[in-house]
Amino acid sequence: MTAPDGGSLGGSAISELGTVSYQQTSLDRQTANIAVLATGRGVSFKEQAAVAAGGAPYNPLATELANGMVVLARDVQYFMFQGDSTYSSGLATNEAGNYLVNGFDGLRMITGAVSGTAYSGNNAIQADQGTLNQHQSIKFVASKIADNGGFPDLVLEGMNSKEALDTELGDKRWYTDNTTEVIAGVTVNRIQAAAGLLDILPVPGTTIGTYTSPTTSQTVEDIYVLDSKKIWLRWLYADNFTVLEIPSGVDSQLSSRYIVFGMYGLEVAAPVFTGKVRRIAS
Amino acid sequence: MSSKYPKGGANRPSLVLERQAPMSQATIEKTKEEVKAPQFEDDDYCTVIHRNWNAFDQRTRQPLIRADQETYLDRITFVGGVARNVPYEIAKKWVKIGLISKEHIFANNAQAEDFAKATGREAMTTQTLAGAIASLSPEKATAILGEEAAKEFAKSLLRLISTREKAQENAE
Repeated sequence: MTAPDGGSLGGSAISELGTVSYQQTSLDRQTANIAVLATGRGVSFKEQAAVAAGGAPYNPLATELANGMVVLARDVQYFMFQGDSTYSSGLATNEAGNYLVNGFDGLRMITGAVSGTAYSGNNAIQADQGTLNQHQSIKFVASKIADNGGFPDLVLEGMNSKEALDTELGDKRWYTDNTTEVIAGVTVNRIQAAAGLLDILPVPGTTIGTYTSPTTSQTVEDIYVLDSKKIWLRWLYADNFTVLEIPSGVDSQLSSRYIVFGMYGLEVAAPVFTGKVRRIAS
Repeated sequence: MSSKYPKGGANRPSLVLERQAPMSQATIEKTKEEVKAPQFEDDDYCTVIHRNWNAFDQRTRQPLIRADQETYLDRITFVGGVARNVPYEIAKKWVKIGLISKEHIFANNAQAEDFAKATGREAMTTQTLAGAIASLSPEKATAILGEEAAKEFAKSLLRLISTREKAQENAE
């Protein structure tokens, strides 16, 4: 068991009428930005009428709005992983991530130890993968998180990493047959670690990205091992995207216009309950 | 050009026999490595440093690995980029994968000066030291220095700062 406060093991034991010593927990506080993410979308009246008149089986306005929402969702995911809104020296190629002041800080920087950032001393677990396979590396990080007092239950990784893990464990029925539906329609594999089951959630696309490892100088991609009960995607205004309709013709143009927006930020309440495996990018 | 040997003389040494084949650059490098690299058996324990031990980010001049930073390579703990008691068998595999070079493997009792010599980086510059101190949390600094020493250090820092501030006020 791990206690949040220091002091030697067994230090709370006192004699029958001994004086009780008082202690106070010291808390590290960290603020996180809530980013405003927005995209304007519009289709001219002519295009809407022409598509309908031509009989093509799609609605251009609905397509624009749907695509706009996918862009926002991608950007939220990008900031969750690579976001850097606080460290102006960050680059896409280093652990801090590309600096965009209006975004929010993501897991790459929060679980890293980049000197000069607000997270350099937060003691998240960082393990470079060398001779261990990915399965062993993930379990190692999970056991360290458990040592720190966390209950790791979720692994987020790119598709290349997930495919490599599937290859490693493809002949193990305890892996291939051990799946769970994390949200409706999304079924994932699970692996047993020292402190319980870990859901392996693969993330398609380039939002996790790659960077140069500060320790080995290799180009690596992160595999995040998380205690999902200590991580929140915080929001303002509404928990989903809001679609704002702009009155047609207000700027004297004949088109339907919309603004799609959302406000989100990432809270990692206990960085010591999180960790990463740096895997050489393939 | 004159020669100290008479032309066609009996004492003239055979140039063909005396000349040695020049060493290729690759051979020279290999020889250097052989001379420098300590010899280990697989079951020896050694000290390994990370490639970026005591290296700085070129743009920000911040250390890539803090002096008190704990990271892992496989199951081995590195503190400030240095791992002790690493089985050579494992270190050898890291070299093979390209995570470290042969020059980053040392005898188990090697010290910062040895790492500095091998990497060409200073063991501890003032900048590194300042960076390391700045990155320490009060809890960690107290744990390293001990309560009394930490108190004394904090007091002397405050004394120095307040003396300087007073001097500045007086000057104004």
